Amino acid sequence: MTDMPQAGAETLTDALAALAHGRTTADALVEQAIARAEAWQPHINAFIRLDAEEARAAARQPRPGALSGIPLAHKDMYYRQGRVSTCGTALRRDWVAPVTAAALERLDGAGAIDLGTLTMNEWAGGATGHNIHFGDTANPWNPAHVTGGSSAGSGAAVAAGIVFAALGSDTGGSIRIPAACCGVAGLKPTMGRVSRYGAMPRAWSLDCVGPLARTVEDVAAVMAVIAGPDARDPTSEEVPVPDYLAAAREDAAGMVLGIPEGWFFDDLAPSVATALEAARAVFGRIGVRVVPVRLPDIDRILTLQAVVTVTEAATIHARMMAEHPGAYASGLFGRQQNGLAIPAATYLDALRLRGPVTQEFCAAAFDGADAILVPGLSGEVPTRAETNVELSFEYSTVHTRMVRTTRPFNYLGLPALSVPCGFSANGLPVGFQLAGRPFAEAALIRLGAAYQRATEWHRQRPALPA
Amino acid sequence: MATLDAAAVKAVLEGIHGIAVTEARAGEIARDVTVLVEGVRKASARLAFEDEPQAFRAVLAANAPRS
Repeated sequence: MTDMPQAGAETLTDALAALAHGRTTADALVEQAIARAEAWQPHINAFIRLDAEEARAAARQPRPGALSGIPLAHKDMYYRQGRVSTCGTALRRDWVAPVTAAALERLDGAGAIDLGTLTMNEWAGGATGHNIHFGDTANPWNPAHVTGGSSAGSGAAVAAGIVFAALGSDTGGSIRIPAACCGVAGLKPTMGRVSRYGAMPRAWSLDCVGPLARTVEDVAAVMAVIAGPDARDPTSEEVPVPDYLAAAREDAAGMVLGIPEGWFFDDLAPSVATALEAARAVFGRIGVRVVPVRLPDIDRILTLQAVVTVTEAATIHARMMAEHPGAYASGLFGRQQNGLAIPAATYLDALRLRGPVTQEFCAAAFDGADAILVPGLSGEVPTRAETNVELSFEYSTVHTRMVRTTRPFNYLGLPALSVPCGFSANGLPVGFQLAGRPFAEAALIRLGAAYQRATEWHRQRPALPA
Repeated sequence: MATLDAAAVKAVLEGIHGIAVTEARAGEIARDVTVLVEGVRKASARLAFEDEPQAFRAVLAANAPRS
């Protein structure tokens, strides 16, 4: 990329510092982003639409704010009034959004520049990045491999260095899976922490809005803008928002990190297990006390999460499935069919159990620890071919394996931060998750940023294919 | 263990939702859903008569960090 425009900043916080000291300009940052987007797009298909001229115009008239002049791009399910939002489906190829998402409003208000819309699994209903309507998204580290999903373009565009950060959404792992697969940081906030107003729903009891970025500190910078109550989202909570950037710069010595026994660490690929063990050792070296914790039955949580997800997704899509059955990928259509057959009492019992199950989990996990560390993915990042469910129709098997370690935290409503921690035997990234108490995103950011100050994994960059 | 059957699934999908489904696929759905229903039935043994979905948000608030 030596012949491309270089803006002299590779992370969001570096870019903010460079802007503040006059070492770069919003114009230069936007030109760097556009050049990289155009160079990478044939290899990774991260963008559904690149709004280059709009971004250039915005850079010429930067607005003041915490993210002034910073080019970002977002999963194509954040509505912007008057603009097409495809949600990754041909059914919305020309659908014009009637409102602007709260998260976009806040980023706009902070002076960020919107570079375009990013690829995603159809209707946010998958974990791999495959899409029959707009093409598959490919992993910048090796385009034969998946990006993870459903925020596929968000993971790919951040990993490729096109944008400093991107919004994803997370119903069962759709921020954390692409973050882990692409070697970037990604945060699923607590349910109610970030407004979902103007974001396409997948399963309204579980959906969360959050950022992917190259570093945990950059995640903090975006969270500082998008977090906080919003009367237009009925699940939004009136909980004070702490100073996330201060948390990212704070020493983590003296914090306590729990390592669950059993379930989360069962069935790990050997190279993933090695990377996680090394991460655990790093936390010990930086003064974090690492302790074992024993969690309640996680398989039960997965069952409850599955019932809520498929029932709500099926409810949202029932009419369109009847009217346009051929407009869905077969794997997604099949899973949503399951949801239509769930008895109402079963669905409601799954929701009634959420309070007592979450209480039990919090007591077990956090009575003696600030956070717990678990794998991002159990296995190595798979290839696109072996996970192409439209060819194999092994949707359930593929999907279940990809989301195994992420889904529990959606049912529990807890925050979880994915952090890169190495590379597996196939050369693709490995990540761990830090999960914490409700509304304890600052503790996760503090731990994750401290880990990154002691390691170099987040500085690794994929090379643009020849 | 209570089980759904293909005929019941077909009746719901086609009769209520207007979504065509083959007998074979209805059988698969019945098997998948039966597993989920049974899992929730077992878990719900711990539910109290008064438990309701909205209590979840109070649990989140109660477990938030004390600042």
